[in-house]
Amino acid sequence: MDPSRTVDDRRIWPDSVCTACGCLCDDIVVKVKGDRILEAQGACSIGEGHFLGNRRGDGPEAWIHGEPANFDEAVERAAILLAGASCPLVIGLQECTTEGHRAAVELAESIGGGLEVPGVSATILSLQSVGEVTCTLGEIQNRADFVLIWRADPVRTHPRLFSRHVLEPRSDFLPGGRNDRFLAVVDIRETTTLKEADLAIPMDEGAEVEALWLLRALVKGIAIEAEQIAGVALKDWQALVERFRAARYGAILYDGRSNGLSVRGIHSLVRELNERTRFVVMPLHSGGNGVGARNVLTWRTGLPGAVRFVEGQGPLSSDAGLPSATAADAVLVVSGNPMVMDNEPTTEVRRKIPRVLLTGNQEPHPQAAEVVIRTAAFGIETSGTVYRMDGVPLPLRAVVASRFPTVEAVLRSIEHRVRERRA
Amino acid sequence: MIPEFLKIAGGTVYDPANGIDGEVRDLWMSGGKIVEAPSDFETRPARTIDAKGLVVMPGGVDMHCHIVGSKVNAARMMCPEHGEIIPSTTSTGLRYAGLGYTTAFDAAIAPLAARHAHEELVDTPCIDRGFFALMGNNHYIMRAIRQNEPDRLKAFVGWLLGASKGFAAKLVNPGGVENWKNRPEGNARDLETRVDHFEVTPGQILASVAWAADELRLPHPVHVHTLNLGLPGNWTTTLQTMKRLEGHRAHMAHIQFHSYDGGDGDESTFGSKVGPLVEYLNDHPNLTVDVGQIVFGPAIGMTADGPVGHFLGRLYGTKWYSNDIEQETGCGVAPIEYRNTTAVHAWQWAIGLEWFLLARDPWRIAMSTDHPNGGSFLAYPRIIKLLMDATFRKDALAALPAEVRERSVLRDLDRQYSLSEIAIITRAGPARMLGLTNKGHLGIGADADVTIYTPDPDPEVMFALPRYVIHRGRIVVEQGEIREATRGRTLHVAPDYDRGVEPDLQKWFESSYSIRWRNYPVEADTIGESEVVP
Repeated sequence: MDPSRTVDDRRIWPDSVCTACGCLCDDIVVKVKGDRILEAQGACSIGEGHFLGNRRGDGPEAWIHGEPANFDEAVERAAILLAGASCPLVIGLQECTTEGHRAAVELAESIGGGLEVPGVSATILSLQSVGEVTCTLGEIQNRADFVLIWRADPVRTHPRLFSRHVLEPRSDFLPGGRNDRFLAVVDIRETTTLKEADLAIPMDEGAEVEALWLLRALVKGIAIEAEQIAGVALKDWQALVERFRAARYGAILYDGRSNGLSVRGIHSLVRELNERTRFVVMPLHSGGNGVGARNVLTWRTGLPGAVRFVEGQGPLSSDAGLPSATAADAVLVVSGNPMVMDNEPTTEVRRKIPRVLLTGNQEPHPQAAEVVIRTAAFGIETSGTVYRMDGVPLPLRAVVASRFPTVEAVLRSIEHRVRERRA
Repeated sequence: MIPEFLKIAGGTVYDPANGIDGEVRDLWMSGGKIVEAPSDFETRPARTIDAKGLVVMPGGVDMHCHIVGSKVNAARMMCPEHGEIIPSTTSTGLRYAGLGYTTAFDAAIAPLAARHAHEELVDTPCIDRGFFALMGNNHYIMRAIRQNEPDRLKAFVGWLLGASKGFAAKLVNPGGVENWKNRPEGNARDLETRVDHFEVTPGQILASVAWAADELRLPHPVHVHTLNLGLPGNWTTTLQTMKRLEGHRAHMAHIQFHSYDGGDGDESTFGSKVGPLVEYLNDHPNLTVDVGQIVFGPAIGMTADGPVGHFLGRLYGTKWYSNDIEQETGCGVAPIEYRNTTAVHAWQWAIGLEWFLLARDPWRIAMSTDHPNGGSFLAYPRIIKLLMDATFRKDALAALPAEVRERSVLRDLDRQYSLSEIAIITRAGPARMLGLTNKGHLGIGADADVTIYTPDPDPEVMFALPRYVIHRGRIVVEQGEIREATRGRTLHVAPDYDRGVEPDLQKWFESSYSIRWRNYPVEADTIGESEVVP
């Protein structure tokens, strides 16, 4: 259903979803004239950048080896590269709707390749070892009388999180809003968020895991003899634990990019806190639709994070002794930032392998990959389903039309060409 | 255009809804429906399946399982080692088809995550499907009860089902989940417990939503998972619940988990109280049940009953997933291993079978394992064998701990289900309980969902490997192999309700939810092929 209305020469889109950070604020009023976004009412500074920074992409629809190419040529070349590879890998997927994710899974299956959603292994490994006690953002909004921000700076990274969901809202349960809530922040540096805290605990760098295990011990009532741990006086940690105990509905929010041991420590702590009171935990994820990607991959294959399709065997877990990403001989980056891979140890290997890039970036680098195919800009020119960081699904509506096809359409074209080549 | 016909010739047909009990007949189908044999004798079907000597039944209907949505997907992520019992959407559809089932309903979807559930339903092939929308701990419902506004409540239930594209109203531990969100040991132990903040009771929630479902003329009545699931001595609450529902139609879900004798802390008192409960069911035609049979082996506890998830995680010391969903419900997931050497598990197994064997009217008791809570739906053929073969059942009972072997009435029960009774509890009955007039039978106008079995002295073999499975007139399984992964349809309701409630509802919604009112309803064009069930 199209909820937009036209006033004079402007199209007004109410309750639009902003994909700039994991909050996925869905109350943005976007005003459009022609194909230009004039205003994103209600958006934070990051959201404004996301909406207003969008300019209709011009130039070629694709490049091959840095030379302009048309869509069909590029799709053909991508199909040749992927179909000819013995171990192709599909990676990325943060910046597309679940419709695109489904097409990516189907393409990976038909080329017998691997598929990876980067940056989710820490939370998944923690889930697979201790589980997870979580909630939707509205529960924190309505019930959380205690919030601990653990090594994250949402005031900067998720600017509307506190006002919409975590600190300011008044509810039947917390009629006093901010006054009914206690905010604790633990970090290793002076952050903007730390300044808002009722209890701020600056700890030593590198001491995160030590601090988490200390908290677990204190929560369990184990006596600790030390003046200072992780650069913080023991009595300060004890004060924090007293706050845990006084909470009716406590919430711990942490940076979704945290390392595996920390994530596990935080989730274990929250589970243990539920012996005494109600506590929940939520990773603060960055923008895009990585949560949707993880969900689609899981329901389509039964396996989260990374899978490999082997003909005749169905999807297999990529950590089941199968060729890993490093063994890939062709990589398709689907509408993510190609730099995302450059954070990983396999960079060197991947730099050398032929790469196909699908990107909604308005000014893509023509040599970012052997084949670069442009797609509609995610979150602006695409409709479909996106998942918020707490797993709540939301409808994304294109507010301007695109010159370029959707990720889904490109992936289906590539798959079609792969099948034709096989036949 | 001349319609194309598919004919199933000479099969032995079991179609209990139409009073057909093992008669040799031909079936004609066209356009996805069962049709009259063409009057023109010249007409040749495009294809004829020779079913001589084979058993023909309507496609199976699973009325209570957990196969899609955020909790199932969380379980898949958390427990990939149990992929066999919580498979992908694709495998789920194919496995149902491989088992001769063509319809299944997920029994617990939070409306806030309905969009997610629908995305998974679209990706589940070979079956028609839908879900029940959770509303037992819904704040608006509790508010309407407190303010004594039944009409507002009724309109809300209508709106919620329409907005989520759900099929029926589901109550899970009404009031208890809300209390658990409020207090660490909070729950509702009986129908008169006060719900914090809302000043209503579980009994009021039960009766009000049951009334609203009847008033809205929903095809399926209120679907109830009552308080105290899995706890010793819970049978009294179950009986109170059934009594509280008098005067309304209602379905009691996975009744096995609610039929326990015993007291706090003393495991030796644990036992069966099926007797008084089944007697009540037998005497009250307004009620139906599904069993929630357990099978020994791995399972996944998966429920909107948040405190039950916590209980299981603590009991077995396993990983535990919990998700509180604003204004609506909780969600708990934890792996379980049922062992036939553990007395409580053995009791659960026996109690499920006692229900099947003591319920007088097969039309009001449905096959289920509450998949994957009692085990996988793939266990249905084994359960059928336990029902059809008393010797096999008694041998299985003999392997259980002495207290169950000696105290369960199972040892005295010689009843054996007939093929027709099996057809009732696995398709005709659940379809009727769901109010699906086009499913569960083979009369003219029914959906052409047909399963053809090869008779075998061992019912488990017979039901595990259907020879043919036809879904909406298309052959999905042939000679035991998948031929085509058909696209199923999503079945949902679109009740008429008083739209006058919307301004108040919207105001409440905008002040409570973390998403906007406009972004909550699931649009019809996003749920794939679908059908509104009147």
